[in-house]
Amino acid sequence: MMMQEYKPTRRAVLQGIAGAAICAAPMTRAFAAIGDGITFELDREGGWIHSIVRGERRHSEKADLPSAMVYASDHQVLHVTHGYTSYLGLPAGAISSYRVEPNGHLQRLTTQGLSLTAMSPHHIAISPDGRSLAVAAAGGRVLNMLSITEENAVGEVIAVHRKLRGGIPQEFLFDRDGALCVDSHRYAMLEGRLARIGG
Amino acid sequence: MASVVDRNDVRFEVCSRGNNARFPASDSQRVAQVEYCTSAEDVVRTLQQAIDRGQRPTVRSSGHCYEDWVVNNPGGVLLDVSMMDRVTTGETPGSYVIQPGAKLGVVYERLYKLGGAVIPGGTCYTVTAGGHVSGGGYGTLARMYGITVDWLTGVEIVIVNQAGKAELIHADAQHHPALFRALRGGQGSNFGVITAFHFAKLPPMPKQVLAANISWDWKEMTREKFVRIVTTYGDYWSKNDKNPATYPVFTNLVIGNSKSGRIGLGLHYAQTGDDNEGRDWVQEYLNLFQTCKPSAEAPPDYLQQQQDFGQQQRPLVGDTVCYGTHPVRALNWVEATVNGQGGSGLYGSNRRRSKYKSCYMKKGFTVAEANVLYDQMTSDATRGLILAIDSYGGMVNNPARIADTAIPQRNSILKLQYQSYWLNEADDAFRLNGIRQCYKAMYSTPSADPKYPGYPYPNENFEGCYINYADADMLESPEWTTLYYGTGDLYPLLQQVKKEYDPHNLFHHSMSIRPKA
Ligand SMILES: Cc1cc2nc3c(=O)[nH]c(=O)nc-3n(C[C@H](O)[C@H](O)[C@H](O)COP(=O)(O)OP(=O)(O)OC[C@H]3O[C@@H](n4cnc5c(N)ncnc54)[C@H](O)[C@@H]3O)c2cc1C
Repeated sequence: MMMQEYKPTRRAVLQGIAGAAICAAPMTRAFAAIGDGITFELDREGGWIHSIVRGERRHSEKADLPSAMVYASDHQVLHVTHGYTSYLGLPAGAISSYRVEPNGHLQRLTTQGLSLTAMSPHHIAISPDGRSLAVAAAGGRVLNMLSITEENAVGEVIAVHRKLRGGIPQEFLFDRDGALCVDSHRYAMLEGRLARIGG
Repeated sequence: MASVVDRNDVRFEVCSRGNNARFPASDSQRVAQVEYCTSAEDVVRTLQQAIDRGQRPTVRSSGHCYEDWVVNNPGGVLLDVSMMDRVTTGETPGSYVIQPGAKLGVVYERLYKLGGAVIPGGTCYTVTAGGHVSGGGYGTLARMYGITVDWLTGVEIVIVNQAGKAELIHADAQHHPALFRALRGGQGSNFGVITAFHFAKLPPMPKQVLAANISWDWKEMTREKFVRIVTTYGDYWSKNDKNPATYPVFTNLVIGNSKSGRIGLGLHYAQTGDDNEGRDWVQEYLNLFQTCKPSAEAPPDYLQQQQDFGQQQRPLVGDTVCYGTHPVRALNWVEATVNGQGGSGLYGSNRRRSKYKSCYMKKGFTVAEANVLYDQMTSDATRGLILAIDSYGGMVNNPARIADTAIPQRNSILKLQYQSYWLNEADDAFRLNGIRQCYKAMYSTPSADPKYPGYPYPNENFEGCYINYADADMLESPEWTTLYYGTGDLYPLLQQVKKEYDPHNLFHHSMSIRPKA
């Protein structure tokens, strides 16, 4: 497959500024989340996260199979998924959080496994209040909802949602009310589970 | 209709916990609801609802699972089948049906009442058939009758098909034979929700059990004595595995860390004949470990103590001493099995934390292994650790059963269980380190395969581990499935069955069968 350079669309830029998600195009070499004048690029094949400050690549952080990212501009934290099919012996991908310094340096705060079967995560979004993250994993056709800790790093998986049939969600986002919009449906945490709400 | 306990329900706190208080590992890992099912129809309905809501189902019969397979299920549904606990006669004479929620104590009692039959299952009253039988199920009658799955002839199970629909099917040697083989030891949690086990026939319950024990005080233990006890114990079974005179026997050598007190050797002889059966054998066996003093030297209250306690002298200070012959108690088998057991059927109320590891041994202990065990059990780092070394083999070691069950370990003479129990979360790291350290050392001697140090990888000395003594640490080895399922055709078969009967890998946990890529 041809490699192509990622060019942020207007929508993606807006999402980046709002601290929401940017979706990875398949086999794209690099793509960016934009915030605070810093752009991040994921080199998915080479395994790097690059910080670009005012047009210049200032910092490169080695990362295993980085597959999707979202920048929480309120707390200057970058969350990056790792497209593993196995993490610590379990069939799962993982996610890391990095504190972003003004000079673009990344300091890893934590790495956390996704739920069982959430392999090869490919998309990520952060809720408007910055307290939860949603990750989609093509491997198990699974959505994970994760908490964000007091330190603003990714916390544990708090709910798993799995569609046995139908397409794998490629792209989704949280709406202003904090509901997760996937395809044409809205989901929210309800009594401890990620439940479909509305019609 | 299933009774639903959601997070707002007062029952939730207890019923969303495991019997091992380490799980759920945190509040975030808890299920969203527990659903108590009372029939197979209930299971089908509840499972379908869970699928339609996008929730992961896990299954519980008793909650005795050693690892995080059941209650660590963030936002998922826990199907609890503990109330499906009937034990009945089947359609054909001599056949029985056991539901998954039946506690082993109840199973023994009911089989006794219904037909004087028995399953060669485990010793814990409150463990239930669901996980126990589907994972193999062995106990004190194993040398005489094999393991429970050797007698299993059919399983009713709710699976979820390719279309995402829950359906109840019956698996036996004629219908869904590969699934049936997988359910004979491959652990039900990999494939669906078992709603009944069928046994076309079961062996007769023994009449009486002869019980005896010897115990040693660590204060009087030396390295040489320890090595002698441990090697004598293993050598006996190495030499006598195929000796039919020893089939009615179960022995266990229980070694606690030296700070915990004592080392015990327990013996059960299951009599099916008259009261004299096996008595000479018992004396001969115990003589290997301890020589009795002349009766004339017995203290005045010795005989009285034996009558009162049915065992050697109390209080237990120093090694046990016998005079004349070894004291032996004769107990009615069913009473001995069922009495003094009990316990709550409400799992989660127990706040004990625990960790277990296992190993099948094909030969007795080498001097090097016994020395390593001595070093480990006298180390401060393994405080609280217990190793139970059970006799195994006999009728279990029928090679024909490798092909029609999912228990490939048919060459072992000993089955080991490392155990640690504690109360406070603050002790987790210490206790887990202790048991891990001992295990690693035990399987790093020249007996172990040098390619897999730290593991009882199948070779001429070891036969891996027991899936019902689940140990998620094994996941650190890329060969963990070989440890549990052997080097033969079994694991690929289990993967094939998984693909066919759980095509969505809906029934998964940390140690479940990995679907073929
Ligand atoms: C105190 C104690 C003593 C023990 N003694 C022995 C012994 O003597 N011999 C021996 O062989 N083992 C023994 N075990 C181990 C025991 O066999 C396993 O832990 C067994 O898996 C427990 O099954 P359960 O149904 O009681 O527990 P559960 O926790 O309910 O289930 C254990 C596993 O089986 C699955 N499972 C349970 N029910 C079903 C079902 N209906 N359908 C599909 N999957 C199901 C669960 O999902 C889980 O993965 C002992 C365990 C304990 C805690």
